[in-house]
Amino acid sequence: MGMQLGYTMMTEQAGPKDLVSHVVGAEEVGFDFSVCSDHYFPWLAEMGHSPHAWTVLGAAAQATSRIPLMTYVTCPSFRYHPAVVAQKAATLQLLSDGRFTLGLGSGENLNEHIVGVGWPPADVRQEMLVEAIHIIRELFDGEGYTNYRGEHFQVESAKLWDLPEQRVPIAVAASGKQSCTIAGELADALVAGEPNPKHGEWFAAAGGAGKPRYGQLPIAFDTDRAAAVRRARELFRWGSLGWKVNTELPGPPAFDAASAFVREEDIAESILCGDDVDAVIETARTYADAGITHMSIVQIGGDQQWPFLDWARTTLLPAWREAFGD
Amino acid sequence: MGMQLGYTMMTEQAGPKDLVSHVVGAEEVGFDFSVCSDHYFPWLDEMGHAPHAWTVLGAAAQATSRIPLMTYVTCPSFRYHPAVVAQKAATLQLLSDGRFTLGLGSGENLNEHVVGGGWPAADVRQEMLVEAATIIRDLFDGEGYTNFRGEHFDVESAKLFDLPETRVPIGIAVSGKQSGEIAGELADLMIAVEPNAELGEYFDAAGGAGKPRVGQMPISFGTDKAAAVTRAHTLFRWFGLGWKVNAELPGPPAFDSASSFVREEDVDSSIPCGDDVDAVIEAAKEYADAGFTHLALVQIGGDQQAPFLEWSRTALMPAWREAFGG
Repeated sequence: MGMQLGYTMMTEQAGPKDLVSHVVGAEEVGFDFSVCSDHYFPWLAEMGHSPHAWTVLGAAAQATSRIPLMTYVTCPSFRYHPAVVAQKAATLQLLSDGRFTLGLGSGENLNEHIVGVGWPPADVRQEMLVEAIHIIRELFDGEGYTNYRGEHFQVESAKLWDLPEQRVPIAVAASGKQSCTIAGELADALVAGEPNPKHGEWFAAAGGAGKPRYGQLPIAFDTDRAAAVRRARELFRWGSLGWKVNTELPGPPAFDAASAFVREEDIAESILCGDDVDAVIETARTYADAGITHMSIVQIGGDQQWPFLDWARTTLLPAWREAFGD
Repeated sequence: MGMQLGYTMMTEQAGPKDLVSHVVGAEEVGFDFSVCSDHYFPWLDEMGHAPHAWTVLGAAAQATSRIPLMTYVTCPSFRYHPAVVAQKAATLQLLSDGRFTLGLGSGENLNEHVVGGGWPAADVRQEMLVEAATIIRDLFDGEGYTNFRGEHFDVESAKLFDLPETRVPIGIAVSGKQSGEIAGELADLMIAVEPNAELGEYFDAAGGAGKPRVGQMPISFGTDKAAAVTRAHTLFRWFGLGWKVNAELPGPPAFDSASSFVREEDVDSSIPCGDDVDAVIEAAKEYADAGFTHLALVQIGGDQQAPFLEWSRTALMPAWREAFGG
């Protein structure tokens, strides 16, 4: 099977009912899978949304019948307790008849700051993620009661009563050697932040050989290229700041300030804008070459999903199949 | 309008897909509203289930179109952070087109123990509930950012980006004077599981006059009365222990021990068992007389919902409308 094409339910830019109808549309159009972000805040006030991902995913599981669903990604360490994340994931796997993958990451201050405990440094966040994954895996094992006394989390006599026959696969977001190694040791799939072959190598070396690798690519599809560039700048100017910045800033005003020097021409160089399908395929190929097996596209603009889905049906999907196989 | 008849999605006794199809059935049959428990554990091993309520409710909102939905009840103080409960509730209100009510309670050790940390005394749990309800109300107000530094919870610059036009009504569970006053001051409706008029008086005196009161009553419908009694004993023998016990015990083995002296005749005398519709109406009248405006029935037995729904359509509903109007 070639590289699979995914649709992104980006909760920062659309309300819950729209997100559900968009993923129904993506299923109809023929996307191979879908992913859903999990935020408390949008990156910028202009994006305007942030519904609760898990409630939306419950509705999405009910509204669709074929398309796989995935959190991309949930942080199990601050807003949520890992034992509750495990329960939610198991329930969603049952509701979706085995179509769910639990994507996990170490979190962003943007979303996690609300619980008011301060933002620990990156290596502590990784430690917390590792503890959380251990807890979730043990609960998925379903053997007796889970007890855990970690540096960061406690679990007291927990057990999942509704555990799907088909275990929920866990994917872990990685952006460097430390996190790729964690993913290789503990995860069933890698969520790679960029098309860097090294990530796949670290993942494989730590135990991830042969396992799926997920990537994500934002585009601003539009037949009017100038409008697409403007939209991409308005809603995604934070995107190029990189994860060293994007995990640390606490709210939309900070992202507005940090992206004040990003110009439309910077956006036009880094984000695919317009309706040139060959450009999308060419960029996607760098992901395929880096070993990515599943690639989800984010169409920028909550109110621009339907023209994108229609273009995906007529133009993107045929080109994608030709380039990457079925 | 007379006393409204509700259906209970009891998550302790059915899996997520069954719960969704049951509430679809309840909507078809004509129930006026529905409520859903929110557990991590069943009371007894025999009950066998505990899926994640909010994911199930997301699916239920998608699968139904008319019937109101309500958590009955969610504890916002241990497994969940109150700011996340507010986000979930707002999202569910949007997904359901304004059909959702957020029922809150101070929690049960059975479900909340999973996060470790020990089980505080009842008055501390009430303090936590008050802080949580205050946080949730502030987030529902939607005026600027919410900051809160409480004894039990911190909230740092939180804001709900997807806030429904129809504000989510908040119900608070009441079992005595203290909780009755809290509900009167902070809630839009009262929740109670016993037909005690005094609870309504506490609620009224603190500001609840004229607001809805939502009760709940278990029954064990079955045309074979002896089987219905046996089923009620197998699955609901914990029920008569009362909230002083039921809020404190940490797990199913403790409920099994605590209920070991409860006999079938004890269950038979406290829970309507069989198919005598008059007995159900008579028991429901106690709630109406105590001022309840809404009463949700729990049909005991996850695999006994379809016959109950059919009996509701043919026998219970007509008798209910005759007794309580509608």
